[in-house]
Amino acid sequence: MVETNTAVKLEGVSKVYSMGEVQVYALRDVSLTLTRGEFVVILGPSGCGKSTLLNIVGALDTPTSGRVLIDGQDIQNMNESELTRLRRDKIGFVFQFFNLIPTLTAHENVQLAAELVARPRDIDQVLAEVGLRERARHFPSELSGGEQQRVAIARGLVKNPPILLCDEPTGELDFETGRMILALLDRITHELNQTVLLVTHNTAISAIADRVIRLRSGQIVADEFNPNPLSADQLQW
Amino acid sequence: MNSIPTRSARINFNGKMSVLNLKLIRDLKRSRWQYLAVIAMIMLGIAFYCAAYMTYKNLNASYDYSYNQLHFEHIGIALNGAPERAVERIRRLPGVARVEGRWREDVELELPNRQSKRFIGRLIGIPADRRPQVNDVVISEGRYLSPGTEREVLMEQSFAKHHRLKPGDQVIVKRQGQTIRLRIVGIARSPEYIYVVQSKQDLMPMPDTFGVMFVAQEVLGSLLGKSGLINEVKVTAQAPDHLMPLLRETKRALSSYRPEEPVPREDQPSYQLMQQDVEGFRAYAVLFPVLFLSVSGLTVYTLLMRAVHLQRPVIGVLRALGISRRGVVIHYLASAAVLGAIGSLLGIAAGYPLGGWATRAYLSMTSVPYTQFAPQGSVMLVGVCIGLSVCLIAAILPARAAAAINPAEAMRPPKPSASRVPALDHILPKLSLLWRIPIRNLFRQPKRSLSTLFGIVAAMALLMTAQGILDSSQATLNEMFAATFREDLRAQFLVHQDRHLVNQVRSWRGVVWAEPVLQIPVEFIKGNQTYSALLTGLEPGTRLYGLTSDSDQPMSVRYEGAIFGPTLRKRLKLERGDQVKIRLPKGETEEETREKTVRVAGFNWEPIGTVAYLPIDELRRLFRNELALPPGAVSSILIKAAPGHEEEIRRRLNALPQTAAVSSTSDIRKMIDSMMELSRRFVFIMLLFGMGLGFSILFNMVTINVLERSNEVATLRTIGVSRAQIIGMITLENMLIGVIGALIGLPVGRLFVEGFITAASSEEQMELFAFRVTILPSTYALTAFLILIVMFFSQLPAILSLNRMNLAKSAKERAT
Repeated sequence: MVETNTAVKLEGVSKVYSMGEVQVYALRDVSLTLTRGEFVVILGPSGCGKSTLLNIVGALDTPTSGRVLIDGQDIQNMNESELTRLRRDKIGFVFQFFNLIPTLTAHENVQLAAELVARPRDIDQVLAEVGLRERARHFPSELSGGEQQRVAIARGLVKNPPILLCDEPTGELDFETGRMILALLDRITHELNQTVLLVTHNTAISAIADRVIRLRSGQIVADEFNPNPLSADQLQW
Repeated sequence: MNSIPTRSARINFNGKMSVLNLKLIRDLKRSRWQYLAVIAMIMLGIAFYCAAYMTYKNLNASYDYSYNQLHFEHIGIALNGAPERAVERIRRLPGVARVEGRWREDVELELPNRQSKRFIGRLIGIPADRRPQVNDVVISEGRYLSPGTEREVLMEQSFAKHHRLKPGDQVIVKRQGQTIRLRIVGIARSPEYIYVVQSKQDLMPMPDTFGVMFVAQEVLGSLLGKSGLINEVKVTAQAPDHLMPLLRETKRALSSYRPEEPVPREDQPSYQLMQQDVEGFRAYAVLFPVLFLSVSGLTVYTLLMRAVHLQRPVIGVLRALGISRRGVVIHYLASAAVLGAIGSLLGIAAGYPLGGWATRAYLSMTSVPYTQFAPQGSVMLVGVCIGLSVCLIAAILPARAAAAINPAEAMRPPKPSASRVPALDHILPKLSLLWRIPIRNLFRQPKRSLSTLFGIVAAMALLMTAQGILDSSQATLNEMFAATFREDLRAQFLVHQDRHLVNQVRSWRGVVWAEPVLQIPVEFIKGNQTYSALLTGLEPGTRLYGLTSDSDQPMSVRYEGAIFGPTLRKRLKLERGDQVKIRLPKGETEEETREKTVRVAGFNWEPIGTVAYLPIDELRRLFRNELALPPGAVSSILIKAAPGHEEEIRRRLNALPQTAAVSSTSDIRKMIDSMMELSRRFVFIMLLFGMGLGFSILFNMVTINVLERSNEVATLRTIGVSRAQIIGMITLENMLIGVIGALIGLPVGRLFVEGFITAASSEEQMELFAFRVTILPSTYALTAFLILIVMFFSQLPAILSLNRMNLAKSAKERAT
């Protein structure tokens, strides 16, 4: 019962970069289990390995050692096309710089992701969920930063992936817009039962998370459940 | 790099480079492949320019030097026969520098060891006790004529080379039943016969059948019974402005000897052919480098614009640190200057040997008396200046854009580039977005797409022009041999024969058909225009001499008038129904009675020669009295041989005592084909250059597009678009632009071929060769295929870079 509810499982994962003769540990023996519907925030200073962790969970990178299971699938021995398929079906990404395709409208950016999977969600509905139905025909250049990030979230959601990975999603946004995006992610987690893994260096954000993992020098130094997460409206930074 | 004197672009005296210069070098290193591609383009352009212009200058220098050293005629006048002292009348004219009178006569020529074969020989009298005052010769082997009565001859080099004749060999000259043996004492090159052609009417160089010989004037006179007589006067003028008055004065001074129209140097056949070739080189030297360098300029512009865009924050920092706007401008101009300098220098290094090869290859096909080959420093200097200027001009806008960046703004992230749905998107059926993205990308940066298109079109124009010119000349020759010269053999006679000879030949074994031709050199006069040409008499319904109209319809000679070729039509501004006067150039009777009139009955099209046509009996009737023609006069016989009988018939024709020369159509064709070999090599080099140009521009644009969109590509990959799909999208985008480029490039290439051929067929050139633009379907296909191949390979580096792309890193970067 517990196993079927597991979205991500890392067992003794290490990632080592060789810089000449020096070996740098980006992650060192990290073990972690994320369950469905969990809003997890990974906190840590620059260079602590949080992005490496996100990349490994997102099948963009493979660990040097250890085992990674995404929705029950071990990625260790997957080839390039299997990893692509895994990303396509299981993972949604939200980036700091939104990463929208500038030649596609908001609707088309979402549609692009929808075209990649067999059973996507309804595009208009997803756009409505992120509050962008009225702006669907606009190009990224015609949207504000917050709107662009909402399109990016909609693009992540339309595939209906069990896991949504967010890398500093508020890093480029002002406080109000950032708070709005966090509220959206919070709502998604609980309404759609999706696992959201959010990486940030902004400690204030951790207050809305179900669980906060702190990383330092590639190791988990704290893994705390938040019994009383705040709503995004209550956040201040 | 230090060509621009600026504080920021200076190497310190202690040998350390300024930081800005270091940045410049590192920037260049960072995008080395793109910059190398630009350098390659500039190199190709400059190499082409240097090679072609150097060849042009070397050819010109060789000709000029030869003409000056050997005192090549400014004016030539043919006479009916005049005493040698007549030249004194010319010598006394103001503005005359040198003058020489001589006897010239065409004779039958035989080589002792090849008596089965006949040639046309031209005997030219020159002084034996001194060198000719005008049209001197260069002895390449053996010695000059010795004074006295020895039967010595100098053989012109082309004929000697073709028949492997050496000093000491003998030649046999036959004239009016008289056989004269002459001994070759030297092999000579003459400024009159750099291209050895018989006359303006017969411009095909035929070293196989036509040999020019120089004999002592005194010996020639006694051999031919023309002692003390001359029939040609050659004149050089003191200065160019003396020419026009001299043309009038010389004719007037010799009027009692019935002179022909004086021929200025510009109309001398060999000189005309030389001019055409030299001008062709100049056209190449200008047209193609312009293509290369325009594309290079556009690429430099695109590369630097991108560099400025990417380096916005860096520029902001530089400006914040106190570097002036001027300093920023100079920094980016210096980048362009480095590219221009390296490209130009490499271009010169490549162009120099290429130019040397082209000069030597070209000169080896002619008999230029003196070869001048100089490195042509001015061409190289101009090459460097052009290369540098193109790059600097292309860098002005990016440099100014960089200088205009506000330091504070430069630190802020750029807004996403504006987009709109292109009209094409509405027209196309609703394709998957993965298909639509490449289509939209074409309209994303219209300037860049246009630059790429321009590059493709330029490369295609280059590929097609080279191949198209070859196609056109091949097709023209094919048409000429298929439609006009249908005979297998042609026997020529110096003295008019009777038509019974034709009947005799027809009865020979293996002769399928034989028919007579009568050719008479005449002057056509309309209004104040006079033009020398051949009037050719053909049998009505001729089977072996095809006349075709402008629209390729078969024509026949007509009794209501003469049919004129394109050159005469243009030169004399003829219209159907016009009356044209005809005059024999060297009449046997008085001037008044020599003039005849014919009506213009129609026009034919033919690429070579200046000819008009009449029914043969009509032509005989026209000049029966003046030329004392036999009733069935023929000047040559055309023969169609049955398969396997050509050699036997040729032998029999050569054995006829009347035959002056026998030419075989297949031999002529073979000779022309071998002459075209050089053109084929040029075309091959141009194909390589065109492909190089295409590769450079496409490599740059594709690589820039992929690099610039690495964030997008990474994003697509992270959301689940496979590598194959990404490669498919890139390929689709490139192929789309390639197909659009091809659709524009193919007709533009045709226009280039037309332009080139029109330029080469200017009024003066038309007299020599009139090519029709023909581009074979295979050329279109080959050009399109080569461009697509080039496109495919040019995107490989970008695709390989995709395989190495760090998705996590690229997705995390700010989009540019």
